[in-house]
Amino acid sequence: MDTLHTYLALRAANERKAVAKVTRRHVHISPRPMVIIGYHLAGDIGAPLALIWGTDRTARPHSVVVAEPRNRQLRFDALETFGQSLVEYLSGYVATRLESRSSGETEPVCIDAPQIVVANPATAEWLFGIVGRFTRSLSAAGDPAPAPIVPLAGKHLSFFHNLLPGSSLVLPATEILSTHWQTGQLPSEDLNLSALLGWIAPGEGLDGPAAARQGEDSPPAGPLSDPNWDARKLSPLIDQWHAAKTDEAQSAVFGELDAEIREQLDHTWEDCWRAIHLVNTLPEGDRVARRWERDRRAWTRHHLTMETGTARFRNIPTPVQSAKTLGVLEQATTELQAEMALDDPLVMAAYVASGEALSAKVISVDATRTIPGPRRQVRRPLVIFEPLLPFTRPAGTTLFLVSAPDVEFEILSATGDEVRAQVNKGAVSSSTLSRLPNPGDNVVLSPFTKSEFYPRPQYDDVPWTHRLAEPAEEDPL
Amino acid sequence: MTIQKPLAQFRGEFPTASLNARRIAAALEAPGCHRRTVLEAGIVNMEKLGALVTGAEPDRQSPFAIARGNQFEAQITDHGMATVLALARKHLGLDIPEAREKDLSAASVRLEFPGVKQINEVRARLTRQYVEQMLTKPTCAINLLRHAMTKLDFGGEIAYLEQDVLAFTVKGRIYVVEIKSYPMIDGRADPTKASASVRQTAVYVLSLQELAVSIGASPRLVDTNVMIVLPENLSFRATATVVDTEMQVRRLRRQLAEVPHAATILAGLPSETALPPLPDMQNKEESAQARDTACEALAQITPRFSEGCVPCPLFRFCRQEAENQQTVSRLGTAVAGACGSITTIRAALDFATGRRLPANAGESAAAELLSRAAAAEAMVIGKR
Repeated sequence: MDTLHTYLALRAANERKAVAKVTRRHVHISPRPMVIIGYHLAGDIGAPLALIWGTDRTARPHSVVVAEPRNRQLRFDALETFGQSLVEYLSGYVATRLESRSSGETEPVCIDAPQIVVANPATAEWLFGIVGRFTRSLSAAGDPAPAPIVPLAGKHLSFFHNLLPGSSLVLPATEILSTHWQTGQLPSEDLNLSALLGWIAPGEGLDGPAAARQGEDSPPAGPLSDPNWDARKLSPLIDQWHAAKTDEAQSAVFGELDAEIREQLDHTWEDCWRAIHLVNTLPEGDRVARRWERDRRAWTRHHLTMETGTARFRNIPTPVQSAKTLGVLEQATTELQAEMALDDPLVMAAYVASGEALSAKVISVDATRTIPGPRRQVRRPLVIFEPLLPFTRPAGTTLFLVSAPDVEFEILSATGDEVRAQVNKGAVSSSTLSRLPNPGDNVVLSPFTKSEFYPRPQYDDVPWTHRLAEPAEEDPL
Repeated sequence: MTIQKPLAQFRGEFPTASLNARRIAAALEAPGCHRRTVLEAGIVNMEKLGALVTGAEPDRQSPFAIARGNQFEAQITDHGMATVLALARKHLGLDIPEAREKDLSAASVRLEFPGVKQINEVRARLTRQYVEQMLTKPTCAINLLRHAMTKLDFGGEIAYLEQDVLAFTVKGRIYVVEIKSYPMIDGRADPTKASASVRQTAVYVLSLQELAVSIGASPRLVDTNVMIVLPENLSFRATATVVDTEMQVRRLRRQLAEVPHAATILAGLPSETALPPLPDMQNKEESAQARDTACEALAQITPRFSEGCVPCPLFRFCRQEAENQQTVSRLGTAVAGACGSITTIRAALDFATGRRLPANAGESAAAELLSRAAAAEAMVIGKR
């Protein structure tokens, strides 16, 4: 946790309410997201107990309840109903239009992409990682055999697993809330959606901690149910369902079970929509649309492989795949960090506080300064700043202007009341000199520049980081 | 039980619950907490105490999770431990022709020695006997122990440790096998659960090593490579993974040595400080009175609230206390660390906004960081 967030956490605790960590919204919010909430049986991650889902906050969500989660036939029946609904939702996002790439070529890209909202990262991991993983390759010849829609939905679910940082195709509600707000509780307590919402929007007559306590006492958001409820309600009802002699009696028990489970899940349904609504009240960051475009392209690629029947998922990645994934993840993480900071002065403030970025007033600008280059004199404007907060990075540090991130500065010297920097790129020719700041301006210089495109790493052989350790050679001495 | 007098006095008639590796491993995840040290060393039933002082129902394990766990374990240990032996041959590379097992669980010892009194002491003595035989006469002795009972020094108290694991010997070395029921999916288990298992297993390894030392053998005879048996994917098929717990065992040994002596902590308290007997929870008046007594007794012992407290049965109690006292530790280890020697939220904010000036080097380091953060935020949001 950096010092700004430490300070914000202290303030939140003192004010007994969450405080804003950002001034902009950093995720894309679809006009029609699909909210999915679910429970699986305790100790049996492969046995869904119930799912509720829907795209309309005001309508009653769809649901499936499995009376005996350990019965595979009943499980497949439930997943069939869910799968039909999911596939139907996704099929609303297949229309394409031609869009140009940075290379100049045009290609068809889906106009919009689906968005799935879940309560927390654990639900995402369960739904996409486990349910997706174990249904995508189910064979129609199995016994019991799942309907063909079950493996199809499994493939779609698998696509939503392990998306890149910065993707908005899946939004875990706790994650988007804690990106935008800082609470005054333990970081692990922020994983409870109701408690987190309590801190952010405590409601009439309550403060953050009191609302969080209330939230904690409501049923869990899944994918694990409350063990006390399992013992008191669920277990006897499942036993009664087994004991019921007639179809009529069994469906009566089922009705009871269904109502009982709905009561557990319904408030999380409302919580997820509240989270979406709260985040949506913030104005969108400038670079969010660019990230959503990347999401749309990823969705398009998945859609095309599904169309042509070439979608492939690996259970265990090869070492080379892992190395590539790691490279892509690192790049996406850095990019997201930079984009959020450039989009949002409050996110940038964390870097100013840590001393990585410089917040300063421009004292003088010498746009005509030249220094000897390799062959001839080159223009390297000199800017003198008065730092608003002490800046102690060494000479040679490279920083970029936040308002024009391709203008590159090199720090020449930094003392308590004066920072001298020369412009190396972005404003060194007569046509671009206008991008230099003017004396009297307040500016921020940060380590973030506009994102560059790096080709994905290619490996001919397994890189050393992903090789199994070889037994150490005997020491010859 | 060999609980010392001050601890027994402090616990009074409050119910006990024996220590196990899970409790010890969890207690060490919240280091430096005097309150927890006293309660663990005094083998107080923490679930019941937590329920009494917070008024909340204790968290139990879901019956479904228990049933599945038992089903898996039964399957692994059935048929003369065939599955365990096959896995040990494959994963530990051991050559074991057959299992000659001995069950030292309370139930089975009672069956063998009807009317025995101090059952735990008897189990511990039997464990010691069998381990001695295992190490000295490896060819004909029992080579697989279940539910052994070992001892471990926790805060100056000897804790009886009921081992969930299997310990077996091959060629005079002892190997520990732990059976867990969370799945290993595509060769990977849930990292949080896996690391908890490793920490717990390390507790067993350590106590077996100490047992080896006490019978005059080398602690190295207890292998730190432990085999953890898990269901593969979503099936009941068993798979195993071998983890070297040497680092955890060393860490544990260091941590245990640093646990303050429970009796010393209690020595500083007024002599009448004690937990109440467990009241009849249906009786409102009686339970309210008991709650007050318990809260008063707990308040006498310094806690240390941190991120590691979440699974502790007293979590809600200590959290409320931290919140009332407005301590920075309420916000977690990262915030408390950044605040250094500043202990309250109010003071930290006063330093951040310059309402208060640091008096010493410790305060000024934290104050400088906090005031930078406050200034950086103010530049964006404007002065408050």
